Amino acid sequence: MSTNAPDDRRYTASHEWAAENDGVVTVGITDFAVQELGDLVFIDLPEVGAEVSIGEAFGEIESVKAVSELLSPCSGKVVEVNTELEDALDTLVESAFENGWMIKIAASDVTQLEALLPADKYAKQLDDHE
Amino acid sequence: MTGRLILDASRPAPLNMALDETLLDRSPPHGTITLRRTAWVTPAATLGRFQRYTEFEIAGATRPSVRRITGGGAILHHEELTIAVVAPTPSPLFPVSKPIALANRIADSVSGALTDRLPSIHRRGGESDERGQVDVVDCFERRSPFDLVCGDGTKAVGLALHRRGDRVLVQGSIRRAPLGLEPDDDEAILRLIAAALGIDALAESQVTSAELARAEELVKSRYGRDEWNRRR
Repeated sequence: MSTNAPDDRRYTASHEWAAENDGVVTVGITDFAVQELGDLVFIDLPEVGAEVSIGEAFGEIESVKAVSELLSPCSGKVVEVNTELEDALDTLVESAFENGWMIKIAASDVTQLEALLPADKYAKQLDDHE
Repeated sequence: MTGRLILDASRPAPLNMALDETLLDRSPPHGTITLRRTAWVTPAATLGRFQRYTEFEIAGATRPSVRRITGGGAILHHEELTIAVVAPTPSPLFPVSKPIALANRIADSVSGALTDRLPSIHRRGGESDERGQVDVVDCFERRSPFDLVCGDGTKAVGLALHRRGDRVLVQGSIRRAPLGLEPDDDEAILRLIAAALGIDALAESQVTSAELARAEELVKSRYGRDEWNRRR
């Protein structure tokens, strides 16, 4: 499997990505995660205004009869949700790092992102995984 | 690797689902796998996490129902053997955390445990068509590559999963009739599943008072509420 990890964002060990801009963190999952999940059937994302906590589930996705939790890379308030994903899960397959973004969080503390993996270390994690 | 075996008492459906989630949350992070025999005080139905309640009603189900946190289709629980397995992953016995690997791992273990009862039992195999199955209400009418089926293709075991961090909950339903199982066989079957998983030391246990108290909280906040059970 090819390793694709854009270096303009940071990564969780559980394969979420986080891109910060002016205190707003855009969150999605990596294409590696999408391939691991397999045949995607449902996604549940929070509503705008929901509070999320670092390391806690902000949503869930179902594939292969398995519901997998999506973990927030930082704490804060959800300010935007990609509602189109619910009816267009193939977007995650085609564009996990761009059009497949899931939520945007007004981060309560952007320094939380410093604990996440930079692209090269995330890529190494994937290489080690294989 | 060690295991914990809980041959649990009969409980209401919301409490059963809450106990499975409690065991998922409170399982030790390393080394221990929990197997629970789930029993029901009355016949009950459980819905998959993303199933639509209205479709379930249309299908004519009238039993008390509760939504699971695992995926898949609806199960009518009465005469089948219901099990729950909570395991750390990645771990020596569940080294690969991706859903299809977990599903195949548990399916092969259950198959290995049941093969003496039903030599023809096997994994259905073939290509996955999860999206083509979402409108099929009954789990046992759905088709998946890791279904365990009898020689004539009848589905004998349904499995559904929930991944939370570095742990997985597997809820399974084993039809008794094709396997000639009686309730008295439950402990033997769970021990066979544990052995097939590779658990070398299995200790029988009970649900603790702390686990029960947490589960009762979850019934109040989630499994006993329409906001959860009818959320879709």
